[in-house]
Amino acid sequence: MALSVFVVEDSLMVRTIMEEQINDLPNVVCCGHADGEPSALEHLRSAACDVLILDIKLKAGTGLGVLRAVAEAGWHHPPQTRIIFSNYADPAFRTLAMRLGATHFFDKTQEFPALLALVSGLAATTH
Amino acid sequence: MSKRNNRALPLHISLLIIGGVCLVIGNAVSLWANLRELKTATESQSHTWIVVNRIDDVRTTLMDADAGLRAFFATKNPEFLQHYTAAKAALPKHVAELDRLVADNPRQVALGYTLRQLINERLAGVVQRIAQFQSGDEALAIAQMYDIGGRQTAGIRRLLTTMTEAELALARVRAAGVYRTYVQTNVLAGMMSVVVLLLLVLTYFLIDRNVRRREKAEQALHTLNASLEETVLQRTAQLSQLSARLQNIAEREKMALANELHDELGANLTAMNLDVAAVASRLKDTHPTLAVRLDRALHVLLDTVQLKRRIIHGLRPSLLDTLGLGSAVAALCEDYTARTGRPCAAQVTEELGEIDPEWPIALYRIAQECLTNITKHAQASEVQVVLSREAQGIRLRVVDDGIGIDHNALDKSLAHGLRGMRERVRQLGGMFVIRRADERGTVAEAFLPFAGLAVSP
Repeated sequence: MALSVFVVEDSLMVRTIMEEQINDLPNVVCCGHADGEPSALEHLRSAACDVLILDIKLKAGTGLGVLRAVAEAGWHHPPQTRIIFSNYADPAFRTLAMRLGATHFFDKTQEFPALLALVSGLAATTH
Repeated sequence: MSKRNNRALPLHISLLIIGGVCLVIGNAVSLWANLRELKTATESQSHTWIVVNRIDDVRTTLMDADAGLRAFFATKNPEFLQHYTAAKAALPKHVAELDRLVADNPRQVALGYTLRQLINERLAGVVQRIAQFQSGDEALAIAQMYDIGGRQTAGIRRLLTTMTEAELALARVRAAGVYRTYVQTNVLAGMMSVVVLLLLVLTYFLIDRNVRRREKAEQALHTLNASLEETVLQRTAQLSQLSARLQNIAEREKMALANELHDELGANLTAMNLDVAAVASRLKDTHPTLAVRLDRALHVLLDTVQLKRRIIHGLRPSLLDTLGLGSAVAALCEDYTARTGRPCAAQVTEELGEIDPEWPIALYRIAQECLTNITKHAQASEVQVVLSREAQGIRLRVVDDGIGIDHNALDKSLAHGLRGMRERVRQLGGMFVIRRADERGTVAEAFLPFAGLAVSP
């Protein structure tokens, strides 16, 4: 079964490129996307996924808000891998994201290849 | 106010007072002159009595001489002739004295001349009759004494009476003149007194009016000062409000610009970056030379992204809007440590609850300014930043263990920043205090009350 990845990103252009490159990975499939905190949570409640990629600044709410909600008790199938992928490079974001249950934190400017490598690795182990 | 009004008294009042003083002096001089005239009058009065007395002396001496002669003729006792001799010797003296006393009166001088002649004639007749009597012609001598002598004596007496009356008439004329002058002087003095009295009353009213006017002017000045002060306070309050509004506008514009840079420019750069990086990665094996060029472009892209981040950070701390004030302040501390290598302890309340949307940026800027000042001036080895929610409001406290703020800091280079912080807090209804700590270092404290103290001008 392919690794399902959900992308939360407010820029359509960036999200499209991300989804293209993620879909290019073997055994990985983008199961959906959202551009804000409420729409992301709505989607995640109805359909489970393996990997959640979150931007911090969204059209409505923040990726950190999504993390906080997902970490709450009573969530049936929380994504096992929760990645923050943001342009906010301040260490305070990383610390807080980790505290809120993020498993990884990647800098949008130069760490997309690393993110792809991580997802690729996860897909290989899932397979 | 004009210079004129600053004088002790206005010119017309001064002139009135000078006029009054002149009148009083004039009155005194006139009275003094009157006194002298009175003295002269008294002297001339006694002179009159002296003249009258001398006339009496002449009369009495003549009577003595006549009496002595008659007694001699009656008794033939030569001792009685001594009365006559003494009188004859005294008469020229009395007449000479009389002449001297009336020398200033031509009429009396003329009468005196006649008197001397009559007396000489009388004395010559007496000498003749004594000779007749002693030669034995007694009856003739006695008859002539009564006949000729009696007429002569009567003439002299009339003359003496005339002289007395003339002297008394002169005295009366003089007394009338003196009385007239005296009356005139007194009337003048009375009139002057009335004028001085009127001047005094007039001066009183003028001074009274002047004082009232001055009081009114002072009152008006006070009122004007008060209203000016009020205006200054109002203007200051307006300026303060304007400055706060400008600051808010500036912050909003900076935030809008930062958001646009992050959302639009940031997204474009990221999209470009993701594509270029992917292509470069694939070209690495097939077209290494092209991959190198693309890597170069990627580096330029990264530099541009870093530049964008610095610009956004300078415009608006992104932590503030995404993570809240507590995290943003903690990040400031970490940044301080990274820059200076010295510890900065942050004790922050993450959940500040419902607060005024203007507060976070204000408190963040104050914390930022305090840490900048500490870096530049304090020579501190440790810094502590405390952000806490209290029952009454939010408190931010920045404490360092440095050299302590200079008491004159408000007048120096720090002044602008300190005033800015104070004004910022005041506009939000709070207060800002900066002072030397008890032992060493500086304590800066900002408190924003929930109650929202009314902004005082």
